[in-house]
Amino acid sequence: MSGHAHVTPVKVYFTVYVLLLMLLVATVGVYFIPHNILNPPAALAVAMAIAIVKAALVVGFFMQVVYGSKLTWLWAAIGFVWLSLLAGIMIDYSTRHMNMPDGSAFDRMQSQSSVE
Amino acid sequence: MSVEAAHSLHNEPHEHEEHLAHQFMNREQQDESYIVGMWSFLVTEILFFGALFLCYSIFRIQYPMAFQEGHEELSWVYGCANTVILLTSSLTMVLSVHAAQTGKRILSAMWLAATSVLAAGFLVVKLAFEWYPKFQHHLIPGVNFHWPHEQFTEVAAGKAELFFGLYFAMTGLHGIHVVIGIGIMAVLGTMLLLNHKSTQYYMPIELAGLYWHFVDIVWIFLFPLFYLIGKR
Repeated sequence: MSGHAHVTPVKVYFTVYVLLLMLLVATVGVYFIPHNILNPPAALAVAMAIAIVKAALVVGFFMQVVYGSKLTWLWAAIGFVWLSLLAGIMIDYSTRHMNMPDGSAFDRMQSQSSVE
Repeated sequence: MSVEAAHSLHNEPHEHEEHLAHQFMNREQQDESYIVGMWSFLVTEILFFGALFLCYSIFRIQYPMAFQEGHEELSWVYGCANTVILLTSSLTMVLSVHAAQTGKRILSAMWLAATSVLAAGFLVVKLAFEWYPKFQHHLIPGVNFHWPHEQFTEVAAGKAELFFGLYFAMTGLHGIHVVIGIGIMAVLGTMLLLNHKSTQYYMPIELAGLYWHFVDIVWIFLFPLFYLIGKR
């Protein structure tokens, strides 16, 4: 079973695991900060930033991308590039008049800019 | 590929290198093909879940109050417990890959078994402690959906139903991935114990690991988006 594979020291895995647990404690901690100190959009941004760091740790070390070839790097990144294109559709939604199930419209940006 | 490499390849027929299929020049190329192939599948998975996350974003922007009130029906304690379980299962998964890389076949199978047990534990928390009480409280979208707080707040039941629709669709799809993961680990673990020739090289375990870590990453995002929307 020996081979040319990169064998990551077990210590690295345990370190990453401890970091992941610490970030989990951090994200739960942010949840308990009252809204008058950290407003909801900021709390969401912090929670998502923590989640992105956790995901990066998993992709980098558990999924071995850090030690991977350039092609592996590219492939790992490309999924998130496509995802950002998909998220770009959000911009399109905000420029259209889209009826929601309750009859309201998803056109916040328009209604704010064209009040006249 | 360098000329020397081409020559050495010519001089050494492929049969001499263990666990190398003949369409590949060498082990590195074979490994890279396997890993990139798995990542290609994961890219489709990222987009598969991504569409649901996009749907979630649109409705959360539109109905922030419904998401706020809906999430109060979920317990962050169970969500947090399940996050710990999945993060630990990712650790046991890499330990299984490490054992396979260093030739410890039985140990690798044991770590796979540990990963499966943790995955099953995740499903127990999800189904027995979370989904089942939701059924009892009529929080499953459909004709029997009943939103108990409607008379007290401005949130219409339909919007809360939408929140629970997304909750069950996204955690449900994730749960299906967990079940599939348990199946993959059971098959690979059995093959390792039988010393099947396909698992004598570590790559199948590595690829199962890539899949399992992806499942973990999806949960890393689901947890704050459903359980930690915000205290009032």
